[in-house]
Amino acid sequence: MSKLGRRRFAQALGIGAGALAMSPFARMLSADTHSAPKRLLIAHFPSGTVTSNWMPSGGERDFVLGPILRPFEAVREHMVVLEGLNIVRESGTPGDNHGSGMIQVMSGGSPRNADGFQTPVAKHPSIDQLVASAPGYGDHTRFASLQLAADVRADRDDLYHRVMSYAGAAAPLPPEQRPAEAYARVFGELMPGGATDETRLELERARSRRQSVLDFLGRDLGRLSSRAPADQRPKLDAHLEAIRELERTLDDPAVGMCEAPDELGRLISTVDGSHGAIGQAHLSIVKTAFACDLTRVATFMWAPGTSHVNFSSVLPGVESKGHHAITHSGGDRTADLTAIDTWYCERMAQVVQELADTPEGDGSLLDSTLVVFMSEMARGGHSFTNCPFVLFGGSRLGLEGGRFLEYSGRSSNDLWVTVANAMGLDIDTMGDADKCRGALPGLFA
Amino acid sequence: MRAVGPPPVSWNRRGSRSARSTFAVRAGPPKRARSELSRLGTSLAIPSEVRVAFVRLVLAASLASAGCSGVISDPPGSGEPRPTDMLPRAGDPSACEPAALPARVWRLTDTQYANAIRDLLPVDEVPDVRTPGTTNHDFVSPAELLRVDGALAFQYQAAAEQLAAVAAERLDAWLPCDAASEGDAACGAALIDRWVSRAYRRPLSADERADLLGLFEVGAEEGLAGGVSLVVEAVLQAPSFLYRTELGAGTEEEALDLTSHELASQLAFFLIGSIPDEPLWAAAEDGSLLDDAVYEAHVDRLLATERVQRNLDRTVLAWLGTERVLVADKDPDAYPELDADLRRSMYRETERFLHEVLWGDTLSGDLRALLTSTETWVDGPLAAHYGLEGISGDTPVPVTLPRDERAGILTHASLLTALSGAAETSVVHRGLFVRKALLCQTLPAPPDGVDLGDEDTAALSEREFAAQRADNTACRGCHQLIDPVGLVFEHYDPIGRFRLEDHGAAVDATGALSHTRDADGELDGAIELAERLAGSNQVSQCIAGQMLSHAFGRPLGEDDACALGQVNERFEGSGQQLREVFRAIALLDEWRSRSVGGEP
Repeated sequence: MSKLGRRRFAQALGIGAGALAMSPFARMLSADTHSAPKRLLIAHFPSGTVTSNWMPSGGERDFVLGPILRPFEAVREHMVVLEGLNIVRESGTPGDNHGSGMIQVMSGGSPRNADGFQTPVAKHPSIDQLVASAPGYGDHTRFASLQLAADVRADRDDLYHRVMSYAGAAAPLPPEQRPAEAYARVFGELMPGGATDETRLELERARSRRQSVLDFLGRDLGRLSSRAPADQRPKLDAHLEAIRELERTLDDPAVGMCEAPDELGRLISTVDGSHGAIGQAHLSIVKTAFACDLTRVATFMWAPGTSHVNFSSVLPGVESKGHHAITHSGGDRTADLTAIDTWYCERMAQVVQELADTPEGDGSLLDSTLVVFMSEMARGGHSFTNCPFVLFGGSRLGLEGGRFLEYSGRSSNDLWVTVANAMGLDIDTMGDADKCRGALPGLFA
Repeated sequence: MRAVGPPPVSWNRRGSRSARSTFAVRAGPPKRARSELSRLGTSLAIPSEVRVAFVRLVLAASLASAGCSGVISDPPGSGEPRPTDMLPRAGDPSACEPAALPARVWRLTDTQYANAIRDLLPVDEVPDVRTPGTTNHDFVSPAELLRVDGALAFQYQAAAEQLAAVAAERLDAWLPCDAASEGDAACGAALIDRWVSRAYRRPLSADERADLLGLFEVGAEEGLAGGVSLVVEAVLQAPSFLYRTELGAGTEEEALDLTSHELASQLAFFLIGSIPDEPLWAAAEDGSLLDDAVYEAHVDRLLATERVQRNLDRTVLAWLGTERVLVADKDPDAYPELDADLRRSMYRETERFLHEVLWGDTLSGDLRALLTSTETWVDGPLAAHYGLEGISGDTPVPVTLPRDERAGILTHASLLTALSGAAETSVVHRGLFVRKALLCQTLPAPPDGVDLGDEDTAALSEREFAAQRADNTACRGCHQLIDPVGLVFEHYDPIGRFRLEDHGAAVDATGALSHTRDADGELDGAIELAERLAGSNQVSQCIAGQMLSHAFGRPLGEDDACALGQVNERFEGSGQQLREVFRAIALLDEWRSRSVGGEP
């Protein structure tokens, strides 16, 4: 591989396999909408919101968006605002409010301290991982799921502040914060066009070399696993899964024809380090990975609950301090927090619009994509009742947009059960069973 | 065969957690503060960073105030929050039976990975492989919690391909054979028998050897470099390289002694931070390392090497969180002098001081020197910062600081700056640091629903703010454990300068230590605190325990009581020589065997 960059290497694979007809885009364009895969994106923004400025007024269909959600007016037909949902927290559970709120909302269960570590972790898989491990999701794509974050600074170093997704009990999947790294992993192999005749043979050989290495890694892992005590094997099994994921790079040359990444790569190489640009770069990676069917499940965190993102340079007038600091600052902080949350909604509205503008079959990518926009608590003062949740897209999953629905007293677990059902999972409880009452009526058709 | 049994000391390490209720804290500052604030806020235009600092403090306060609710309604003495010990109580080494550690397979930290590659290949730069979710200054690595997922496997793969390509271009510099005289095939075999074995830190099985030879032959279709690079590419992402194995060997039913190779690997990663060096590897290969005298000689040899000393310096620096001084958020308007150079000067002072305490001849090398020495090493910028005249340049020179201003590590500008807000000191951060790092105590998690209301307390001094917390029923319980300790540091400003005045008044640095085993009492100033801590067994045991925890790669539990007692005994026996802690850990019996885990 010394002379051949990773990109050129993979460039050959698309042509070498003669895979043009297998291009996902080609597949999508020819297929009717109903064969498109279902996708799930859960996007998190930190520290709750200002409920009075978040919740719409009016009825189910004639609702009027408040100042924070107003940026979604343009995509209102794809939008369902939920009111009244609680994140059910038990007192006395380990961790601070933000970090353990995240564990609670994503996994549906109270945090517990990891064995041998004084740091809280989830004891159940998070909702995205439940979906990713269900038939028709992770088993169909090169990447079972993606975990990305625009910022990972938090008040404390403990891991759980920076984690949305858990593969299972005490199995955190921390997000990648560097867009360039995420891009290299997801699209580094892809190039539009293909190889020239002169490089094809050489590249074919390179491909078989990489296959040899991956085969070896699998055997090495098997030997190690057979020597390891039983309680050490889960992490080796997880490693094997990771190696299989690398293998799928070689097994699925068709994705080499996906055309979007090159422009995206240029975009990401020019990301200037600002919060918005980094977040949008990650969300573009998710969008394109969905479009190319490289994955069907993603979580994205704008920043941990105890966010250090300082908005004063992008939002003149907002106090020059970290977002989380503002939530706890004395005096009236409504205006600042409203401005920050509105800013997040503007970014998300753009993503929703882009998904709606990406054709798939006789509809759009958004039709088959359910976007959930949420926080780890209700308000920055650490309350967990009536939390902000908005859904977008997913018409093919049976979500009718343009609605404002109240589910007072129901839990985020109930929302996830409903979402999982819509994604095709046959479950009636998730996380801690005592925090579930079943699916929310009337949300999905 | 070492006997293995239950630890003799029964010890409820974590304690039970009482139920807490959601609490809305309504801070009620005196009216005076409120009017002062509005005056200051409007006419003086407090820089926003000042308010950031305030909020940081409030946050830190809220983070630390868990378990505080309910204090008032409980009968006196029954419901007050108390610190929880992070360590088991050390067992009596003459009476307790050591418990073997569980057999395990654990992944190299990102730093160990990079160090190992530098020892294996002549490369100048190792690609920046970063396990998502970790920070650069994790003292006890969370690697055990973080499984290798697709994102990390991709990083390993990309790095291995890059490194293999570089290595293939410089075969002469590192290949353990001469291809011209021995032939490509013999060279491949030598690579596998010697280089791969070093990378894996153990001999290869016949199966592995055949597998690797097959891989070499595939690559060698493109010549020797092709074969070598394919093996390198595979080995640098092989689980056998990425994971340390400490499984033991034999057929005993209770505990297995580590093999000579496992022993060498464990000792090397602890002391060197990398794979075994040549002499240690030789002793692993010929099995002589299993001899206690040979093993001990290697421990002493290694501790005398510059490389090991530097690595252990970094361990202690990580324990103290020194690196934070390089990134700590500061208000540039309030502290324009704190540029990157001064931050580095602060870091270097602590680095050099620790090195001298641990390994030098100038200082006595004991815990008391660490905590109370007035000797230190400062370069030009830091000398100016400390108000010392006649020192310039970037080379640290030895100085003696005035004893009424500074003594020991706790008064280093690095720690004081790291443990402050952007524009204010932090009584809370400083107090918590003493509790956690030096007394090995943790405090309960914060309560839910802390709402500070509409009051702003930015105009208060740290002492006034602490007084307010002491008046607040929801805050008081925990903050009476934190604030009286943190207040003794008030003679040092947010960038570690000594001061006699603050907020227009003479500094009051009185405070107290409570809830310790042997260091309770009133205090006036950080130097009194340092003297008190230097004489405390709780502190010396804590340091031994922190280093043991680092070596074991996890927090200590009840099973570690005897090991802690043994380390402590050697530490005390040496007159609390800090370097002896590392030696004592390396020589622990239980570190050299493993309990039999689940069925393999």
